[in-house]
Amino acid sequence: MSSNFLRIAKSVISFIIIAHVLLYTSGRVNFVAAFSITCIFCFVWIKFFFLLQNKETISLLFLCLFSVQLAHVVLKRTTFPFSNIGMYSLVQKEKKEVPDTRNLYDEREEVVSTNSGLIVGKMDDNESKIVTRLLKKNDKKIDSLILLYYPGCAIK
Amino acid sequence: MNTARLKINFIIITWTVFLLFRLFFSEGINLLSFLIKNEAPITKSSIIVTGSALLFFKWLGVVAGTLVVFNAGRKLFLPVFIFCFVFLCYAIFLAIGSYGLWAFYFMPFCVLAFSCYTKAYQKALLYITVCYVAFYVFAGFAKIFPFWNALDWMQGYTIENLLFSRQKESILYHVFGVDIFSLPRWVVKAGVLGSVVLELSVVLILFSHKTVKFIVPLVLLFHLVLFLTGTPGIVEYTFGALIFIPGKYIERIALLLTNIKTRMHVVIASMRPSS
Repeated sequence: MSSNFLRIAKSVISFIIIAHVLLYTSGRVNFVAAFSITCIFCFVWIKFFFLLQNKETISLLFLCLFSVQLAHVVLKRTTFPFSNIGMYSLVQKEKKEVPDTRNLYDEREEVVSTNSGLIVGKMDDNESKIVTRLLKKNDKKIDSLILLYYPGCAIK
Repeated sequence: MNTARLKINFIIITWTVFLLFRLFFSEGINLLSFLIKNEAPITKSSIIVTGSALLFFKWLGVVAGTLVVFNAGRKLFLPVFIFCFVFLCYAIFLAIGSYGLWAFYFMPFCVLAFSCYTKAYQKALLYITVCYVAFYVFAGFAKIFPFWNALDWMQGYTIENLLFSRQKESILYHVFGVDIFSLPRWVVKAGVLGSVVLELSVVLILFSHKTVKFIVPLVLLFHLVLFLTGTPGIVEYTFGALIFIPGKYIERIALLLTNIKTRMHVVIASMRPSS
């Protein structure tokens, strides 16, 4: 275990040093972090692939899926699959005024959609999350379609 | 059947059932389909994600998922299920910019699908554990990365602002009437620091299995606190911890199911009229 630990510790330290040098020179936090971590996963992934006894077509499909995912990370410079990577870009250095949130209310003036959909129970959590995030966009067309989908509700 | 294989079966079944209820049966998919059909500007005019495609992959996923649960053609239908899962998550990402379930379940699920083609079940379990560990460790790592800016995160304002924006909707406030901001300020600060330390310490699971006994419950507690403070979305990752259920319990469940099956056969046989 100790030799494994040392080996992994060395790899992690190397990764951190290289990533910091890259960051220092390029300054692109999301891109460097997401790309480096995805590369590590690619290595693990491919290693597992070679363990398979029957490398059938369907396994290749997964490699394709994974390549699509990698391309998604690299081209769109997003942080998938580690949505917290590059959290630094989201860091707030001071206390902010909280903007008023817009929610969906029913006829009895009770809130129907919130980020904490589970406490309301009128929508499932996923649905509530989608509605809340869509309302944040402040788009008139989206608002009117949401009201059409949930008759009798109002946005406040 | 060996324990590792039983465990993989158990994880496939529980995760598939969870995702079916959490995502595929969610009314949110129907809502998205309705919005896209009515040309709401939410998917950036994607030619792949259409309203009909969403409904098609939803129901294809439901059928594939059900067959996976009953182990009917799992080699074929598990990849189909994963593809439908990724498609729906991608549509949600386009609409609201959140990866949600995709971020955690995609890679371990692919390892599970690969495991149908190998007898290296123990290795497959190890890779799933690596995915679990990586998810938390990189989440912690991201908060202190790059190191010269780590202190900004540790100030705690990011989390404070998040908690404050969701306070009125949180269970803690809504049900128990607890105002987080009436608590001493150091409590929130300690929570922020503790969460980063906890996320980073998940890596210990890879080196010593004994650490599972206290790290996994702490991670679950961390999710519970987030749930109570208004971020229940993250609770969906708690199902990932099922991979740490000891093999002996899974053996017991398997034995129980076998007994039920045998008993049912006996009952059905006794109901047949004797010739």
